[in-house]
Amino acid sequence: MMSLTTIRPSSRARALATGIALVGVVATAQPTALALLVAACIGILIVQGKISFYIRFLFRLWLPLAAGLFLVWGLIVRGSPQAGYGSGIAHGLEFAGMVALRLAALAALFQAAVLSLEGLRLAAFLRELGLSPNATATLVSVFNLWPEFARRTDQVVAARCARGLMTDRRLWTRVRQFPWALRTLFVGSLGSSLDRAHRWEAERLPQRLAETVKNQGDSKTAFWAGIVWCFVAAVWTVISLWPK
Amino acid sequence: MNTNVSSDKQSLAPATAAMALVPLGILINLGIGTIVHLLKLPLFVDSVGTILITILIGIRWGAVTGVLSFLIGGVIVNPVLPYFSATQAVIALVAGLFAMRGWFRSIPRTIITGICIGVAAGIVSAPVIIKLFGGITGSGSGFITSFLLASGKKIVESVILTGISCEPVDKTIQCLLAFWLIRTLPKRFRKQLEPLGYLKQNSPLTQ
Repeated sequence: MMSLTTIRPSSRARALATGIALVGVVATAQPTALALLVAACIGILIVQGKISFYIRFLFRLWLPLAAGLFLVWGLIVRGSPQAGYGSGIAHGLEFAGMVALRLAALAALFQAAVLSLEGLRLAAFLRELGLSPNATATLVSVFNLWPEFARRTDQVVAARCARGLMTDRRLWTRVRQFPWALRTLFVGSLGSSLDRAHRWEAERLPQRLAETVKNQGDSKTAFWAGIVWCFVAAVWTVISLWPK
Repeated sequence: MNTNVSSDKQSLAPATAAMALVPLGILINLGIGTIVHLLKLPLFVDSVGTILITILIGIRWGAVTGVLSFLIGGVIVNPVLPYFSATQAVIALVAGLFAMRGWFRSIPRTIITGICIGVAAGIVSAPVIIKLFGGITGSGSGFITSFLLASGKKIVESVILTGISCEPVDKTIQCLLAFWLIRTLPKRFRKQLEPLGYLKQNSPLTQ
């Protein structure tokens, strides 16, 4: 039997469904519709095994932001842009809640649409959207280079500490070291980036990647999954924009 | 095995340069956040790569770097970043227009460029901050916005005022960083990159 995780919509359908839902998220004024979308996206992320990133976002970024919104609109401004300032704490809290919910929905939508794409599937998605082989290779490489770059960043900062260039933890010491750390990182990475680009070109890697991607054609299941995604997104958008 | 190919080559094809520099620009945009975080600096530096790539290989690739940085940032850093992609494109455009005329040639000129980029970025990002964030983005500038809101200013006014007061400081720092990185660029790289972007226009005082 086919596993749920293997049923993925085709790239164009994925982009189209996301675009349709995005219109609804930005334009709707119905909290229930947004909550429903968040729940659906969380479901998709759970099925795809990618929920941890969204949970991290919720705790690290969304919660402080939501708290800030409630504080500003609920307790400081005590009103909303629509109802007017000073119109009441309830109006402020309602507005803050709506914005917070919209942000959660935007993040969930983006993650559900893109996060499940990795490696060749991401490359196939980009090629289908019309990106050139060079641009596709460039973009896909960022995901592969990111861990290497992050490691190099750690090394540069650690090396400057080890050389005694950051003797104390005062702000000014750290600020003075920042450009030097950045320069070391930039020049080192520039050299290896140029080498890599020359090598890729010599080995015709972008063209080979484009060929490989061609063979990653979407299956019949993916086609139908795409239809379902678009249909659900369209229905949800119509409902969310329906006047009360 | 030859591990230093770049130093042997005197010229660089635009496609190769883009393939080498765009990922680097993206990584710088995203990676500086890591350095800032490691050093615990009170900065919000997210466009150095965009400005740098614009100067090195042109507006088009600078904009690509900026937009892709925020799209990828949405996947690996913060899922709401992609909604600010247009701001990155504008940063590349303004930086490119200034770089074309040699406005990264000296520190005073670079500061003026940074201020202009900041004002443009503040204006472009305002609708996103108002519509999607309700005026509060969670960064330090949120305090200024809330202060302005508390003093009775409209949300549009508060966000635009905050943007054009905070963004120029941030973008000036970023332009100065880009200026300094270009100034300290080793000669072997400079030779390869000069025919591609605006390095020549900004070179007299960068030697």
